[in-house]
Amino acid sequence: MRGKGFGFVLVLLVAGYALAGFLPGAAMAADETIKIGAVLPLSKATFSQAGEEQRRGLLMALAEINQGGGVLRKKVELLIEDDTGEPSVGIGAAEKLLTRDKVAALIGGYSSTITFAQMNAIQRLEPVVAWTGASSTKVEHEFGPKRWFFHYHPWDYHRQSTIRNFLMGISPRPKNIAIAYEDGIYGTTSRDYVVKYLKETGFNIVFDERFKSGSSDFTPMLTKIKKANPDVFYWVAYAGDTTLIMKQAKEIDFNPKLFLSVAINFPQYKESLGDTGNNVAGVDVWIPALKNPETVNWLKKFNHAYPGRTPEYWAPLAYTNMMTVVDAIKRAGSTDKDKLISALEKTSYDSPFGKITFKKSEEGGIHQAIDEQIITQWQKGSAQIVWPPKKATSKLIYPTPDWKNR
Amino acid sequence: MGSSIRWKTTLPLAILCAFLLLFPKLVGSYFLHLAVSGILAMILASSWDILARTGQVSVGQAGLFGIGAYSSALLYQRYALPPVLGMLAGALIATFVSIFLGYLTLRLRGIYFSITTIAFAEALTVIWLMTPDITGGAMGVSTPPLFGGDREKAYYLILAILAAVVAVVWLIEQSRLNFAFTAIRENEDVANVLGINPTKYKVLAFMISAFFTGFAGGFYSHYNTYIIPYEVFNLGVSIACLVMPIFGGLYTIAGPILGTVLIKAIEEYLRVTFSYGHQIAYGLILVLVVLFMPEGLLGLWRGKILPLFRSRPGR
Repeated sequence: MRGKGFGFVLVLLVAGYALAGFLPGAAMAADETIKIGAVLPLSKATFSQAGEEQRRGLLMALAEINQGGGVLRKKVELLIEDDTGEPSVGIGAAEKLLTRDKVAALIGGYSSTITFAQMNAIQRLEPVVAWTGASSTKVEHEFGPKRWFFHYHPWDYHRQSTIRNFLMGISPRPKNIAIAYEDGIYGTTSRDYVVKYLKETGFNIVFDERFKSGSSDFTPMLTKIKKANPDVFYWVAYAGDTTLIMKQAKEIDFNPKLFLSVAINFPQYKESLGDTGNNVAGVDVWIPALKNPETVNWLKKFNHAYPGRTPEYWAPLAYTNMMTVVDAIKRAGSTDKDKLISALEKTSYDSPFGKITFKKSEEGGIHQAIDEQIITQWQKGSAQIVWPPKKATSKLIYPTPDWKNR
Repeated sequence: MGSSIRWKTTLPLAILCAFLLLFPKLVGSYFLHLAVSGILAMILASSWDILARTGQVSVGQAGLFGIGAYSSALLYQRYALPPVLGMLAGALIATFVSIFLGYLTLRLRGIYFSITTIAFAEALTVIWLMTPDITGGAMGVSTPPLFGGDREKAYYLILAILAAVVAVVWLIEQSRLNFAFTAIRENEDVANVLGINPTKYKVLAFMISAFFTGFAGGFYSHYNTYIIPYEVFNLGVSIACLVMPIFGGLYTIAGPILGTVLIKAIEEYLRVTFSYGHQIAYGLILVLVVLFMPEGLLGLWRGKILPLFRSRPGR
């Protein structure tokens, strides 16, 4: 019996890994394609919205590239792997794409913790990595100086310096700021930078507390903030938290001069908040209201590919990610690693975010694509850009009218 | 006859050992990574099963895993303690915590103990977030890659830890502990009457379980290079610890290992094959297993498959 038990173990072990051995079969590539590998969070609840939006942007770029004849007279093949929101799965996905599928470049990405684990695991290969995700400076400090690492999304401090510059430009200038932040790495890092920047520029921090993302009741925290009587209430949270925070702020009649948050231009915002969502401002990377010609053109293509859908910034970011990599392959004339890195370094691409070039960033990165951010405000049910002035589509409503007078 | 039985046991075991030892030479870095992740999960599953043998269902193994992970990473970061020694220290600290927690909670039975273990892991998350100067807080702790990123060495280390777990479980099965654990699981009151101190044996099982879970946590932190509280103390870690043994077969050496091999292989196969809906397929498989294979894979083997190979009387 025991012998048969061990036999069973053996058979299953071999069968299990043999089963997994079939995996690359489907992805076996013909030499006539140029392969690019993307790792995205497609199945973890809190990350999948951004992952799916990136997927849309990548597929849109892929279709456009291949309809135009591909690159170097070859079709481009995009291999997308789901990291499931787990670092070890993310490592496996990156390893598979680089060592088995032999992709020319690794793109995509979202979570900072997964990125950190992935890059540590694959840095021995020194692959070409053009990464959209990860805003934690922990990633910048470790991998930003690497010649093979190119980064698109602004780092944490870019977002917070935008907040500081925006607040300094408001007239009359607000004085007292309340800050609440989700207690994970995203909220905590943001909080550390914004508190530092605001104190340096003479703002008073009258409230500074963390909360657990996904909480069902923010009323106690909001009541405390109301008592602190801030001019501006700034919170760093995920979409679900923002919706609840605004509904409960209205319930307790909390009226700061400005509600200010991060990335409030998510698709469900208007639907879930209605009029309650008006006058809320937020820092963002891109919104469809931008008037530059690249955004207008890109939106036409997006609406053709995904009719009736309002894109989040992750879609144009992923589109830009793919287009700049393929553009670099074209200019390099090959997928040779060194030539591709050199070509990427010389990137000059007109994207929905403006001109993309890779430049040094403040905390050690040598290939940073985007550092400028915008401040948006929901006005009468539509998102408008209110800062910086050169990109503004509307004037900031400040101070925000009381709930009773709206 | 005896010699034949010994051969039937030894030969497959020898082939299995040879296969596992040669595995890094047979595959590339992707499969080696899958193997390392799989073996790590096997250790967690087997460790959970040790405590389950006393009838206690822990849903807070993530707490012990996180303690091991953080102890090892912080000892490296603050005192440059070599990672393997850090893992051992993490295992010992997790064991120490389990003694304290065990004496407090293992008098509870069934669902009450399970709820307490969940609360334990959740409380640790909050403590970790609120003490950033000591624990690194939400920003987490990072370490350089284990063995400078040499995955072969990492594989042999985790394989050695698995071998140690299997050896300990085998020793338990050969000793009187097995009778004590089983008696407590079957009927704690009767075991007490028979002179078995249930709390003492349950704490002992919890300590062994915590030692290996903590060791696995230490390995995880150095292998993945970056840990944050929401990840290592996550309920998902605790759930994974119990799903694999239930799938494979409880209270056995092979069950948790088999369950992990198949679940990990299915998970990866579905993830790569179906970019959409792989978790639905995975969930459906688990539901079907629980419905139709209540004793797990080993139960299926013993009850349905093995009898097919046995000669039937009268034929």
